[in-house]
Amino acid sequence: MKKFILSLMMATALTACGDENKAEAPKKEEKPVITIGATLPLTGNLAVYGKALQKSLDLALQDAHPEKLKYTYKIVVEDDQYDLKKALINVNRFKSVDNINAVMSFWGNIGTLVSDWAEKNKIVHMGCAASDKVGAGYYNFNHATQPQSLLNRILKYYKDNNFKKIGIAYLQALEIQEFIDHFVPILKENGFEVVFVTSFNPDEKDLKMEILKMKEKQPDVVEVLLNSPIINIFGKTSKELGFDVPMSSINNMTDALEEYEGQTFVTEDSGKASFTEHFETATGTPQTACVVNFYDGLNMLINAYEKTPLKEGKQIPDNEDVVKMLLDINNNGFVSVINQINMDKEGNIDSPAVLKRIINGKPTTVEK
Amino acid sequence: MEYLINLAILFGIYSMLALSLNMLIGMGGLVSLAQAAFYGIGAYATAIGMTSLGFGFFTTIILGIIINAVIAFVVGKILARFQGDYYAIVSAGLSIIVFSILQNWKSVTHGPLGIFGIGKPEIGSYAFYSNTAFLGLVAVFTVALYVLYQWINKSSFGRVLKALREDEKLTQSMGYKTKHYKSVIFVLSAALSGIAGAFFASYIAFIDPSSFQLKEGIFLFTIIIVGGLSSALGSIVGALILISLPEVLRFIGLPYETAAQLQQMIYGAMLLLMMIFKPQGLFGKYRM
Repeated sequence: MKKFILSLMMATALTACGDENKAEAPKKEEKPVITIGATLPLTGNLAVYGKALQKSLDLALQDAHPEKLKYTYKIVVEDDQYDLKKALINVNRFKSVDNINAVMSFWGNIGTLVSDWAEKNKIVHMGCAASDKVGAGYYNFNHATQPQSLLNRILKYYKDNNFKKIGIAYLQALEIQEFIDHFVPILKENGFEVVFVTSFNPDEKDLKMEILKMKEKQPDVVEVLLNSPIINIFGKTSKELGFDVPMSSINNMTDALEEYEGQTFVTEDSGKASFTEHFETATGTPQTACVVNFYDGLNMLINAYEKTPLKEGKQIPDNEDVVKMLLDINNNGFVSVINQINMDKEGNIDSPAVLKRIINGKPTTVEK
Repeated sequence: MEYLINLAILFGIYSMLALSLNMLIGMGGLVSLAQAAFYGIGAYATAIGMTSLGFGFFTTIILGIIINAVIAFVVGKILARFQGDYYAIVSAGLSIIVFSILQNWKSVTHGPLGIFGIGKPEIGSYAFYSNTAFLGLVAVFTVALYVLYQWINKSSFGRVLKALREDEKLTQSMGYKTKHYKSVIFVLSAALSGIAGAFFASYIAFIDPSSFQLKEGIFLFTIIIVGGLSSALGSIVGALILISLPEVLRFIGLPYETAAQLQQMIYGAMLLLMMIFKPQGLFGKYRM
C-alpha cells in the first residue's frame, strides 16, 4: 500500500515536471509561443456551454491563420465543472505547467475567482460575464454585452408589445442575481407590474409547483433567466401544464430551441450575420452564450500580442504592454466579428444587444 | 511548483475535513452527509468576519467553531434519535437547508453573488500571503487534527464510540448514554470541519454557496470510504487520492476533444475498481 501511495505522489510530481519540460518545447520552434489557457465547464450541467466555447476558441485560432502570425499560439483548455476549487487548480496548473501568458474564463463566479488570481499573477485575463467584478483590475477584461444594454433592449421589447404584467423565473447564480437586483426595481420604475418572481437552484428538476403558481398570476410575459439544463425543463414543463404565454430571455434560449419555438430573447449582437452560420457549419454546434465573445476575445488577444512592441532582449511582449495595447482598441487595428464594440477604461467590452426570435428552430434577428 | 503547492493546500484542507468526518462515521458509525454544511458555515464565518466585521483570520476560526458547535448541538439532539440510513437522510436534509440559507439569506451571505476579497491569516506583523507560508499553516492544523483524532481514538470516549458503532443497544445495556456520545461526536466533528472551511475561504479569496452543496458532502464521504473508515491515515490517503487522481489523469495524453469526459469516466472506473477489490478502503478498520 505504501508503494501505491508513493507511486501516486511521484506520478503527480513527475507528470507535472514532465509537462514543464513540454512547456519549454517552444525553444525548438521557429516562432516564440504564446500560451492561452481557458478554464471551462466541459463536463457537468454547463458542459453544453463549455464544449461550444472550446470549439469557438479552436475556430478562432484556425481563422486567425496561424502561419501568418508572428508568434505560435497554443490554447490549453481544462475542465472546471463550474467548480471554484477546480478552476483554481486549473489556473495554477496553467501558470506552473503550461506557462500561460493569458487566461480566459466563463461567467461570473469563476470569472471573479480568475480575475483576482490574474491580477495577483499579472496574467492577462479575458472573461465573459454579465458581472462588473470580472473586468476589475489592470490585467482583467470582460468581453460580454453588459447588463445595462441587455436591460434597455428588453424594456423596449416589453413596451413595443404592450406587456404590463411581468413574471420572472431566474437561476440562483452570480451574474443573474446581479442582473435581477437591477432589473426588478427598474421594471417597477418604468411602470411595469412584477406579478411573480421565483428562483431555482441549478440542480432543481421539478418546477411544476412554481410554474402553476406563476400561471395563476396571469403574466403578459415571463422573463426566463435560466441556464441549461433547467431552461429546457422550464420550457417543457410549461408546455405540459398549458402555460402558453410569451416568454423572453437573455442569451440562453439557444440552448433550448425546441422548447422555446416562437419565443424571443435578447442577446449580444453576433455581428456579421455570417458568424453564426460560420460557427455552426464549422463546428456542428449551435452558438450558445459567450461563443462570439470568446471568438472575438481570443482574436483581440492575438491582435494585441502581435502588435505590442518587444522590449530589448525579450522574445514575447510583456503582459503590462499587452494590456496597454488591448486598451487602445480604437487604434490597434483590431477588427471585431461583432458589429460594434466599445471598451471602457476598466476593460469592460460592451456590445449592443439585439432581439432574436426562434423561428423554425433558428434564432433570427427581429425588430419587435 | 506553484501548482503542486496549490494541490498540497487543497489536500491539507480536505484532509482536515476527512479527519473530522471520519471521527463521526469511522469511530461513531454515524453516516452523515452534513459535513459540507459545516464546512460552508466555517467558510462563511471567516468570509463575513474578515470582510464585514474586520476580524482577524484566527478570530474567525474560533467564531466558525462556536457557530458550528451551537448548530451541531441543536441538530445533534435531533439526529441522535436516528440510526443508520435514517441518520444519513436527516443529515442530508440539514445540508440542503444550510445551502438554501447560504443561497437566500442575501443580506448576510450575499446569496449567489458570493463574498470576495477574503484576506489571508496574519500573526502579529507576519502575513501568510505566500502560498508556501499558507501551506505551512495548513500543515500545522492538519497535523494537529491528526493528533487529536488519534488521541480521541485511543481514549475511553473513543472506545465507547466504537462500541456504539458496533452495537448501540449492547452499549446502552452497559450503562452508556449513547445519545449523549452521538451528540458530542457530532458537535466535535462539525466544529473541526469549520476550521477547514476557514482555510478554504481565506485561500480561495472568493466563496459562493455552490462550493458547499450536498454533492460536496458526498465527495467527502467518498474520501473516507476510499481511504478507509476509522483510520486517520485512511482519511489523509483518501484525500490525497481524490484530490490528486484527477490531476494525474490530465497528463495521460487523452484525445483533446474528449479528454475531460474520458477523465471523468476513468476516475469513476478507478473508484469502482477500488471498491470492488478493497471494499473496506485502503486503510479501513471498519466496514459499513
